[in-house]
Amino acid sequence: MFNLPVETTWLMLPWPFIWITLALVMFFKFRRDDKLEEQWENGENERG
Amino acid sequence: MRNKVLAQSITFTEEKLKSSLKKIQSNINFAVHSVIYYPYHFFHYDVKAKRIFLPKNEEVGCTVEPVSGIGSLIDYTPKLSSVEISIEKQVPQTYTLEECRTISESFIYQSISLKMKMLSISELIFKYHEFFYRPYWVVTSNNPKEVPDFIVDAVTGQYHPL
Amino acid sequence: MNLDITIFFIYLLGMLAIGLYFTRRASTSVDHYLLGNRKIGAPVTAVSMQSTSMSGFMFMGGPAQAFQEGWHALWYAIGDAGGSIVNLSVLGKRMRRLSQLIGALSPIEYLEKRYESASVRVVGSVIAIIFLFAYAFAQFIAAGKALESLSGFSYELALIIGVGVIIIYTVAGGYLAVAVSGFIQGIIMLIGVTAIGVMAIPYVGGISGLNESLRAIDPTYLSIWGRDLIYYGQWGVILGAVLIYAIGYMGLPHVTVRHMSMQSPKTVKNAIIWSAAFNQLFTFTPYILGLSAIVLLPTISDPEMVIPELAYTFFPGVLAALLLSAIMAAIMSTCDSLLMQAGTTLSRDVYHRFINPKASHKQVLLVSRLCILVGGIIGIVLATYEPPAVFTLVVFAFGVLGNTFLVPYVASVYSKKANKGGVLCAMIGGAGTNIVWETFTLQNVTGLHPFLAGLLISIIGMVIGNTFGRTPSPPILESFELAKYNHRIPKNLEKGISDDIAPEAKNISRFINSSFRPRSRGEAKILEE
Repeated sequence: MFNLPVETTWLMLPWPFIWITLALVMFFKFRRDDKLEEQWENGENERG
Repeated sequence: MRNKVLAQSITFTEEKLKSSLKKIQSNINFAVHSVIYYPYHFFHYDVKAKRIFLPKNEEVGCTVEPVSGIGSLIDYTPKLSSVEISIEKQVPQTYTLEECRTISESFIYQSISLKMKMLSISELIFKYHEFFYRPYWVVTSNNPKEVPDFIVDAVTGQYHPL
Repeated sequence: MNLDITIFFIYLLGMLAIGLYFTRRASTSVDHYLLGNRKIGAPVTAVSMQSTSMSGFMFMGGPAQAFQEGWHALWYAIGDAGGSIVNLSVLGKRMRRLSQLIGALSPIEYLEKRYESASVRVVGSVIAIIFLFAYAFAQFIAAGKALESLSGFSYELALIIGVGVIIIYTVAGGYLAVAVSGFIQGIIMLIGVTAIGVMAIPYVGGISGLNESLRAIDPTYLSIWGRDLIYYGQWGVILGAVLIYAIGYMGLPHVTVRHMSMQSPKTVKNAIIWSAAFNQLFTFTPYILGLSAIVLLPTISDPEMVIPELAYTFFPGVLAALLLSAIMAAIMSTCDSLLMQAGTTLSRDVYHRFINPKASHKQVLLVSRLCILVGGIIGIVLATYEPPAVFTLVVFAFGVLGNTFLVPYVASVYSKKANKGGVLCAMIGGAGTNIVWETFTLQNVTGLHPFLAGLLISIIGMVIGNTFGRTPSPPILESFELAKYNHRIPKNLEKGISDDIAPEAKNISRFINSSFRPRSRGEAKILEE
């Protein structure tokens, strides 16, 4: 791909995607945590 | 034995706490055990900074808890009211007021140099001090092997296991 | 005075104005305390954090490395792009909790308290000060070069002006450190670098075309083993190159200051994710631009000037100057944190702790200012007479810092037995190995990157040294256990734990156990005042 030698293609190109996946996983994990926290803070008095 | 002290009032109420607990972990029964009052010294300083353009006088506040002598920054002036609490529920202090004041000063100097990156702070002027208690809920679970007891800050609802 | 340098100063003034506006607005709100406010949106915090930390290395060192080594240089970018994510998932929580529990205000004080040894503090401080300065020197050189291409002054004059501006800026109180100006700066840099990319990369025929041309010049540019295959088969070199930024960051922790909220807090947890995402957008482009320069600017005399040259090639002078101003400002804020950290380490961790414990706060401040001033002068002298390459210096300084502190910090929360003996061996062994490796260029002989060699020796030092030191004292062991207990707690609950009240929890637990035994769990009664 991109006229790169096979070795370079396979060893280097996947990394950005790996990092992005990892970041996305962490993002959703944190977003869930934030939601949990909101639930905790609002208790029953939650509006909606 | 009871005595009259200044304390923050409970805003994270028991009902709120219970329903929050249920929402988060419905399979475990929690019992809200009691309220413990934790002592804090609150110090209010004026910062006189040598800065161009920026406000020269700023206020900075911090608390030092006299049990292990750890400082923390605060965002607002605590709202305090006078209440009677039994002494058994007040965590005893180990640091004196004077010690706490010294701690608070170096704490503030250090935080300012860390966070504001200001090397030009000239003076910290002590304005006033207040001693108060902050209520914490002690919560126990019916399954102590899996879930330890924990405390819940009765003002903000933040919690931490014991 | 020419137009470009005027733009630079207007830019600084503009940033200053933005900073002032937001600081003033914040301080007019009722009941506001200095430092107390934490309500800045996650993206703003993140971009501003990232843009102030990426600096001269990113825009000068990275492209130069790619220009010289070809695709091999991208290994550093790969590590860098993942650094904040890796860091986030390994250390974060536990260390924050432990530092709250033992009441440490600076990273080095944290080590002293955790390992109960003053010598840890001395060794840590000395290494930290020297290499934080070395790191800052790399930024000085970058600043000099950025200003040189902006102003057309000679390098020496540009360097003196640049460092002068940095020092004044640092001592006067880091105006640009305000999150909003950092944010705007980050956006300008992102747009700038992307814009150069958008112009330059199609010009060389896209990534594929670029590689085609590179192959025509020298096929080994495309290899992961470096130009002329100098690192051929040396996995130790590649692993080191990736690891230095991916895990090296863990060696440079920032202890957070404890906050106590008087009202319900809203924290900014997602900041770090935003910064990771931002980093992805940012990291690779400068390296790719360095590669394009092999084709576009083959005769460039100083490869570190690739980005400025490209900016002036593709854009009208005004826009190029704006981008360079943003780069220069980013270098300034990176430098300012580094200098501050070195200065406060010297004044608080060394001077106040060991030399003059009775020093007043004014004296302590004076010492840190003098430290920065002296460091600045040494920096100018070194950078004028024998300027090393930005990239080499950053990798060296960053590597030594990582080798010194990574193992001690990780062990502080993951190994109960880790003690004074181990930590001293790990710090000295790690730093020493990296320095020796670099000095005698042992990388060529052994096929091991200096950072990897330092890391290995540091781990071995920790393991062996531990057998000599005392086991940590009961209070430290207790705090250690408290900082890691999270495994016993259901996930849902664990996530919301607030580290800030860890000391309270510890003391209340002790209080309950000693004074009154809790009633049996079944019949717990609610007692309210």
